[in-house]
Amino acid sequence: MTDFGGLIRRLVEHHVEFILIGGVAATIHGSARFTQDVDIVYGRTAENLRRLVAALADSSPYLRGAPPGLPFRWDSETLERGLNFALTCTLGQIDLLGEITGGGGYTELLPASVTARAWDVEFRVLDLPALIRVKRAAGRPKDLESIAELEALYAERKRPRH
Amino acid sequence: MSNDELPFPLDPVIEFYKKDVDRTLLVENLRLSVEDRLQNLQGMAEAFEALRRAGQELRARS
Repeated sequence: MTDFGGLIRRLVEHHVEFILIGGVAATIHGSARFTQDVDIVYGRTAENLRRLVAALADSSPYLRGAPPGLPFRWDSETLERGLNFALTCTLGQIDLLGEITGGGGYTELLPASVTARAWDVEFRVLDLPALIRVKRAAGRPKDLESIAELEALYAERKRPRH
Repeated sequence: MSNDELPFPLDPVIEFYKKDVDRTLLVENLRLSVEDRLQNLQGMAEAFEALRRAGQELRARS
């Protein structure tokens, strides 16, 4: 089971530059759908890779779905060589994305993010229009229900009563 | 929903899926704080895990 607060607090406490996207971001905006993992877009600077490595170092990160025993080193070099990582760790499931379709990387997405506060920490979350935009751009059939809900949320939030 | 309400072009496939969106749940969620929404998500994850374990035990016994 994913400890959503535990993962996000860990990232914030290690000063990782990241933007929360995906299902947890949708929850923050009001979605009623369930998600099992944390999805983040992370900055690709050398310093941020070091912070990300330190943040998850003691939670045994490993490639999700990979056969046990596959050599996987959790260090800056591994992050430098790759871009997107679907990980499982003792705090749960986390997807680290260097770039996303229709959104780009951390720097490009930053202007389309807002600050959220939860679990006694503040962190950046992709705003609702951008979340819809990147999900539309991904073009995955499995996202259609989610996009429909996010667009309905957008319309609800535009209503005067909120 | 009219095209003017969204900052995106209307997509007929997405519009088709909107008829199944439970807007009462969304309205309820929007009344909650961000903390409460996330607490509900963590509660769902705990319930999901409890059900998954119950299923595992059931399969192990049968």
